[in-house]
Amino acid sequence: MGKPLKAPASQPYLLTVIGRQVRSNLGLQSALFLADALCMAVFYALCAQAAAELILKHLFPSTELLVQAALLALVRFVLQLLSASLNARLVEKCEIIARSELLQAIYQQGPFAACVSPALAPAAAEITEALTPYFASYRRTLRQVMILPCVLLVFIYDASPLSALMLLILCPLIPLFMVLIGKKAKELNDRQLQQIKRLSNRFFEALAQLPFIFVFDLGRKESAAVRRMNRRWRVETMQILYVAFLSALALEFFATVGVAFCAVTLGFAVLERGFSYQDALFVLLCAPEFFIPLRKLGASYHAKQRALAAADSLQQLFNLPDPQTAAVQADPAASPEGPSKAEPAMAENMVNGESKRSVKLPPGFPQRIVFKHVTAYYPDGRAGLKDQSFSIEAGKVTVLTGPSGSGKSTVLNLLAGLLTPAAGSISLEYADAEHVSVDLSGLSRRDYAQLISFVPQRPYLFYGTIRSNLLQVKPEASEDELLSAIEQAGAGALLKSLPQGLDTPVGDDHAGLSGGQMRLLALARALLKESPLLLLDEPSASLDPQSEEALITALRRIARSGSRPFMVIAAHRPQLIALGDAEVSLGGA
Amino acid sequence: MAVLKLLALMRLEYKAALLGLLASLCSTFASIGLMAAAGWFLSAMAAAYAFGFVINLFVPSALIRLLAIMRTGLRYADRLLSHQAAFKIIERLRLQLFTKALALDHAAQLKFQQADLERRLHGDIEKLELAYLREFVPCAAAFLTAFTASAILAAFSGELLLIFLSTFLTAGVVVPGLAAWGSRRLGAAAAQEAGVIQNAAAAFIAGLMDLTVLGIAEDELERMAERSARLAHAKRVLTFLDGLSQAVLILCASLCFLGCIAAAGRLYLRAEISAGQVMMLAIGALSCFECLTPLAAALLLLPDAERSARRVQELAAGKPRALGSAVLPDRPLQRMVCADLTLALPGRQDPVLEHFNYIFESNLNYALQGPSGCGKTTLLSALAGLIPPAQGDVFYDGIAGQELKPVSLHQHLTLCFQDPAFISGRLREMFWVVNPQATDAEILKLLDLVELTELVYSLPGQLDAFIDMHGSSLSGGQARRLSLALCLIKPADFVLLDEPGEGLDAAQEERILTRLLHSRTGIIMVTHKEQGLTCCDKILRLKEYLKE
Repeated sequence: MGKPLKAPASQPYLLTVIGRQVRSNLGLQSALFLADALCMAVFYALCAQAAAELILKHLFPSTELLVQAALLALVRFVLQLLSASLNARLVEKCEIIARSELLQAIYQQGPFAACVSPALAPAAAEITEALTPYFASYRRTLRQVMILPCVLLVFIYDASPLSALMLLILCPLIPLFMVLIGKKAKELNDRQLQQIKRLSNRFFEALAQLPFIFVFDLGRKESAAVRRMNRRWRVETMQILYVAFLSALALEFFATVGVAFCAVTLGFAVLERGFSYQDALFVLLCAPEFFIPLRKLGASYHAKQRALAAADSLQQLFNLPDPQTAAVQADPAASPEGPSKAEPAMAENMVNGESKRSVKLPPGFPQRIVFKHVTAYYPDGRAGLKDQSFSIEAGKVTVLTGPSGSGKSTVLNLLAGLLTPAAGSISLEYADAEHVSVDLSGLSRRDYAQLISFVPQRPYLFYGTIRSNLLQVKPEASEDELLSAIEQAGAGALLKSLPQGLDTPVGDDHAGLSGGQMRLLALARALLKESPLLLLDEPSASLDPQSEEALITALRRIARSGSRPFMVIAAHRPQLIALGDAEVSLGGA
Repeated sequence: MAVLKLLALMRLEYKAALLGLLASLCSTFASIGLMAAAGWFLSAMAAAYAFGFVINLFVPSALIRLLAIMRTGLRYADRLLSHQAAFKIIERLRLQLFTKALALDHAAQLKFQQADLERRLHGDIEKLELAYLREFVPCAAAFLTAFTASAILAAFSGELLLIFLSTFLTAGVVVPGLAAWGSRRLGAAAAQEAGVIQNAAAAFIAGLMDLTVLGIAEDELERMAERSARLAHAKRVLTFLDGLSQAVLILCASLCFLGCIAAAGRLYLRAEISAGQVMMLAIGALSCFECLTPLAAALLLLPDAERSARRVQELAAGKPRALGSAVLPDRPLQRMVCADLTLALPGRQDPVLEHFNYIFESNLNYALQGPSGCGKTTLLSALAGLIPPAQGDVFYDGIAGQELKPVSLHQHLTLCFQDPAFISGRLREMFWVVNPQATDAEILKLLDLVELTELVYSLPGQLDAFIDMHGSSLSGGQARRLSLALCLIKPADFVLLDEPGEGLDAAQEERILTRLLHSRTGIIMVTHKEQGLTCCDKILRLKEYLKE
């Protein structure tokens, strides 16, 4: 008798995945609802019996009867406690699943995806505020709507078929009217929602622009505007509510009519036909309970709209980026082991994804990295690299040169595993007897991350101190190790200039560090990670000449030490290009 | 309590607030009355049939119909009137907060700008706005219902009163109160954990590339999962407590019903009351419990509302801005003299700029340079009268800034903030707000100067297009340029620009700045780039200048 359920297929991914996980919980709760409804009916039957004996036979209700009824009330209490505890667990599950799905999706989408933006951060904390009520309130109530009235109807039919018929007729009318009115309200809402949001936001915007208001002397004007906008906001919102509350009115009307009709007809039946008072009283007690779940559903109906809207707004995150799947199709050699991640079930598939990218890395360092006709696109469709073939040899410092936009950063991103080629292949060639060649796209992300250290052009230092940033990579590093990494990165002078040394706060406002200085610290961080590949994207950009000199000396020292067989540097400035033993020019591509 | 202080705003809208409460109360009474009357009617009929009384059929059945209609209508009225009252209180709350915020000094006003805070403020104010609907009306209605019901039951017997009060108070006050008291820390901890998760997620997204290449993204995900589990556990406990309160409510209602049948039955057997009255009292008492349903949630949310109220009050409780009263003469401002000017960042003590002496003339253009943190922006803020100097002063044609009325100063000076500053609206109206006399020609000329003409012509409605600050109608660079145009529409002798080229590409920045600097004088521009420097008459390198 509930509302037509939407086909699960059209549901946003988040709702589907949570729905799957909480199905058994809701099932158990349904069983409890059923038991509770039975207990309630028996309780009211006992009450009616007690009242009938009292009024018609002048017998004080027997202790036995009262104790039985009280016991039933207690059983109901226990059942409801169980249901409450199940529901609490459902809430917990929703919280955990929604958040982990969201974060996993962000991770899977990677840093270049258009749908990954800082605006998602509040969603990570608050997504459940929209999603949880859908399951813990709406879906749960829907179960109650399907169970409780049915049980009561059976009992009422037994006592008074006419009343049962009446309720049966009223029952479908309620959702019908609610849906009709709800549609009208939604239309109004859709039409005015933007306007209403604007009116409400105006206030918050004005609060965020107080200095602007002061300098431009807009205080009085803005006060008047805030007052005016608030009034209009109230009036327009109320206009919607007039209609929206009509659906509650319809519900209330039918519920009241149901109760009143039962009371009056039963009263006359008792007086005129000697209809059993006990049965009549029972029906009267059950009638309001019959409508309670429907009323609750009406109250939690907006939870559904809210959850759908919230899950829809994140849907993009769960559609996998095309270039990756395209890459798998374009490269038949890679496809058996390739990441076939077309189905967007991520949380539990993290492991699956790993198993599909399961090519074992041979021991030791590769001898050569070979790009064969590599073409790559960024997820937003921007072309990164077009049909390039070259190889990078171990033991040499390779500089990538070319005008800006020629794909230097893209090569580094490909090498760092942040992008997957849309066509062509990148392979690691090992120099042992069999000349093992491993395709990059076959490696798991975690395995691959062990191979590389990468300092992007605009590295991110996490909120904390220089020390906490370095320790993130190597939690067990000693003070000496940290200092030597900084020294190796050519950031020794920088560290000395900071009065707080390693404990200098970084992050957010960067504590006055320039982009170049941050890159030096990020290089130190990358050097703490032991890996054969060291990838640097324009490491000397926006450094002053002395610092640049120090950096180049430091890089030369690293190259000579042989600890990093592969150093690949995207370079623009001649001093840096001069550092290279080999040059890959992406010029005229 | 902070909530009560804010709810004191109801005083100003007492008519609407009382009307909302009254409607809520009447609909509760009608609902209880309907059930009680139905119980009375049915039982009286049964007794009449069994013992052969003659009974008036039509008055009670008409009463039932009347109560049914009243209940339906009153429920609708209740919702409308209580929402109406809530919105009126919201209006007051917002206006009061805004008026208070307008009078604050710069440091306190800046607090409203913090990204995190704006979002939290949104949530806080919404919570307070719902305080009337979710906390006040249910509590007041439940209290008044209990009072009335107690009075009626007491008229029959003390036993009935005792049964009703003990169960009603247990379900409505004791258990939800204990639950709310026991979980108050948990709620605070959950709110804090959510904040931590959000910050961690923000860092995760911003640093995703670094985390991935460093191979520690999955560790970070695990750490966030642990936090998420803690938050989820707190939510679980809160949900359970709400469920517990509802379960207790139903248990108490059932026991009260049984108790009332027994107690009223005793009166009936002593022939003190009629058969109809027995069920009227029992069913009436049972129906009273319905008004307790929203109470548990109201009490559980109370600590939350309390926290919100305290935060909003803290924000509004900053120092007010000191306002001078002197007025500048009605002629162009020619000179701003910084004399021994020492400035600190808003809300801080340690100076960023010390003993600065300089003269800005309105017939020259200035570029202000220096490493970040040397006080460029702070100097502009002081010149614009946003922050008071810690020592020394700025003299505007001889009048000390501290004694000057800000309105008078701002007739001669305009400032373009570092971050885009404007308030959403229709494009033309945005310009009119700043300068009511601006003509379309002037507006278009400025839009042309900042290279927004093409964009404006592409918008639906062109100058009538609605520009939403938070929407996606403008990119960051476009918003900056619009902000610049808005600043320039204001007639002023001095134009202060804080990094006007930030976020623009070098060529465009050069074009815009050259055009601007050639078109007028009195510009003081903070920049750390080379663009436009050649068009400035004076380049003031702040750090070097102060060393000399």
